[in-house]
Amino acid sequence: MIMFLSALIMFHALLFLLLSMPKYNKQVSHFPKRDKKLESSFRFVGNTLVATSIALLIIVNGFGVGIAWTCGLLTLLGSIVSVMFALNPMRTSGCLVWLPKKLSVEISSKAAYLYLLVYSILTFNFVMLF
Amino acid sequence: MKSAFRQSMAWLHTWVGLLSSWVLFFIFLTGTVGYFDDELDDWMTPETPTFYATADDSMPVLEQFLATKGADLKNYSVSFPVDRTQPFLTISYRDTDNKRKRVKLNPYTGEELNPQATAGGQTLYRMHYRLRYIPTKIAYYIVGVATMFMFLALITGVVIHKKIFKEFFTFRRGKKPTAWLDGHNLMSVMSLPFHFMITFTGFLLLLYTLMPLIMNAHYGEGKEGRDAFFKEYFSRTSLKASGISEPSLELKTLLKKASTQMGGKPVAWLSMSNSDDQNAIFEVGSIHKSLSDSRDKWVFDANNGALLKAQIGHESSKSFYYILRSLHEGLFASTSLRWLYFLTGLLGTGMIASGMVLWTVKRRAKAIKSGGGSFGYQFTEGLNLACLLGLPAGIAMYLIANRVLPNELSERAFWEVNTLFITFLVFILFAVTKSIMRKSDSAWVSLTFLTGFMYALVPLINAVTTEHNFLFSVLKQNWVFVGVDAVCIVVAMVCFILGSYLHKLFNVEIQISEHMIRPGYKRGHLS
Repeated sequence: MIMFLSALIMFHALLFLLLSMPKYNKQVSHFPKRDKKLESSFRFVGNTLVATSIALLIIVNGFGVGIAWTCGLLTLLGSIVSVMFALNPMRTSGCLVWLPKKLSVEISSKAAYLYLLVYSILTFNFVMLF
Repeated sequence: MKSAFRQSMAWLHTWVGLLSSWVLFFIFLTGTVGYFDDELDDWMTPETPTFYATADDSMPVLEQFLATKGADLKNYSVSFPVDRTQPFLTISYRDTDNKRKRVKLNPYTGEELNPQATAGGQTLYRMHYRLRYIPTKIAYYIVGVATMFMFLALITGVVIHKKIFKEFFTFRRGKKPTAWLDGHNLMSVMSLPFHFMITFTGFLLLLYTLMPLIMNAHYGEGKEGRDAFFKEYFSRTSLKASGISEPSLELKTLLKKASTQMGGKPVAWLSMSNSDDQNAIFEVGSIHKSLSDSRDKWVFDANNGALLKAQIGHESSKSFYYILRSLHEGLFASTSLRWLYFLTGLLGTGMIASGMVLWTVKRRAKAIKSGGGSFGYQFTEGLNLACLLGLPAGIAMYLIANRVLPNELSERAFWEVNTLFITFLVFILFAVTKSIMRKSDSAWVSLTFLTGFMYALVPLINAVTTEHNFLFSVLKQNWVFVGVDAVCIVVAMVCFILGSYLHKLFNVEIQISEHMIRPGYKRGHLS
C-alpha cells in the first residue's frame, strides 16, 4: 500500500513539475497563463512531493533498494506522463486538477498546497500505521 | 566557442553511439531478458515442476539421500527451494571417483528430477557479458570497451542536450525525425539514473579483467596469482581433511544451532566439508533480500557446533563492490521491482535502438534524393535493421527451438543457442543484401512482420507441445508461463502494428520521391 502511495505521489509530483513549465502549461486551455507565482508554487510542490516519495521508498525498502525503486518508478512514470501529455494534454492535466475542481478550488497556488497537505497527512498516517 | 564544443560533442555522441550500438544493443537486450533468467529456466523445462520448501520441510528427503550415500560422502552442498533462483532441492557432491555430481530432487517425495537438456535463461543472461563463440577473456574486453563507449555516449548526450530539464517531458509524435529524436531523448533522460548506474556497475563487474595490474602486483601474474587473490578477497573457506577421524554432529542439530545464530532468517543453502574428520566445517547462508547481504554466511565447527565465523556485511571496499554488483544484477529485487528493472532495461534497449534509427532517418532524405545513398549508408542501414530485428527474432526462435528440438538430440542446449544465432545471421544477410540493393524499405516491413510472426508462434507452439497453454496457465496461476506467453503476444502485436505503420510510411515516401524526381516538379505542388 505504501508503494502504491509512493507511486501516486511521484505521478502527481511529475505532473506538477510538468505544469510548472510554460512550454507545457500553455497547451492546456483552462490553465492560467503567465502566472509566475502559480508556476513557482507548482515547482515547489512538485519537488517536495518527489522528495517525499523518494523518502517513503527509502524508509520502506532501505537505502539501496529504495534507490532502485526510485530509478525504476521515475523512469516508468516519467515516460507515462510524457506520452500521456503528448496524446492528450487536457486529460493529462485533468489527472491533477480534478481534485481542486471537485473541492471548488480554482487552479491556483492554493490547489498545489492542497495536494501537499493531503499527501502529508496520508504519508504521516501510513508511516505511523505500517 | 560553446557551440563548437557542443558540436564536437554531438559528433562524438553520434559516432561513438553508432559504432558501439550493435554490441550495446545485444548486451542490453540479452541483459534485460536476463532479469528473468530463472523464470525462463522454468519455462524451458516445462515437464519439471517447481517447489517451495524450507530446510525443515526438505530435511527428511535430505537425510534419506545422505543415508543412501553412506559414510563415503564427506563433502557436499545443498540448496533449498526457498527462492526463485532455486526451484528444486539441489545436492552437489563428489562421488567415489571424485567426480562432481549434482542431483535435483522433489523436496517432499525425494523423486529425482531430470529436466530436459536446455540452455535456459541462464545462457541468455550470460551472453550479455560473455557474448558467444569467442573466448571469455576477449568477450570481456569487447564488452568492457562497449561499456566505456556507452559511458562516453551518456556523458556527451547530457552535454549536447541543451534544455535537459525544460524538455524533460517533450515528445512530439508524428513529426519525424523530431519524433525519433524526442523518443530517443525521452528514453535516455527518464532513465538516465538507471543508465548511469547500470553502466558504471557493469564496468565495475569487469574490474578484475580490465584493471588487473594492482592484483597482479600483489599476488603475482597468471592463474595462480588470480586464484590466490580471489581466495583471500572472497573469504573462501577451504580446509584440508586432517585424516584424523572425529564424529560430526547430526545435520539437524547443526541446522538448529545455525538457525539460532541467523536470527530467524531462512536457510537457503548449507555446505559440509570433511565430514567425520577433525577439520569438519559446516557453512550455512540465507537468501538475498537486500543489497548488502549478498554473501552473508555462518561457519561452524561441524564436530562441536561452535561458531567459527559469522560473515555478516563486509569491510567498506568489499561492501561497496557487493552493493553495486547487487544493484546491477537485481538479485535482491522482488517481482514488482524486477518488472521495473525489466521495463527500464527495455527503455535502455529502446534508447539504443532509437539512436540507430535516428542515424538512418537523419540521412534518409538525402539518400533518397541521391538515388539510394552511398554504400556506407546502405550497409549501415542494413546492419541497423538486422540488429534491431534479428536479435529479437533470434530470441523468439531460441524459445521455439526449446519446444521443437527432440529431447534425444545430442547437444540439445548447444543447438538451441545455435538457432538464435542462425536466425540472427539470416536476418543480417537478408537485411544487408536488401539494403545494398536499395530495397531496405521492403526489408524493414517484411522483417518486422516476420519477427511478429515468430513471437506469435511462441505461445501457439507452447500450447501444442506442452500442457501449459495460456488459459490453463491462468487457471493454474502459473504466472511464469502466463508471463512468457503474454510478453510474446505483446511483442507480436507491437511488431504487427509497427509493420503496418512502416508499410504506410514507406508507401507515402515512395510517392513523394516519385513526385520529386518527376520533370517539371515544383516545390510545394505535390498532388
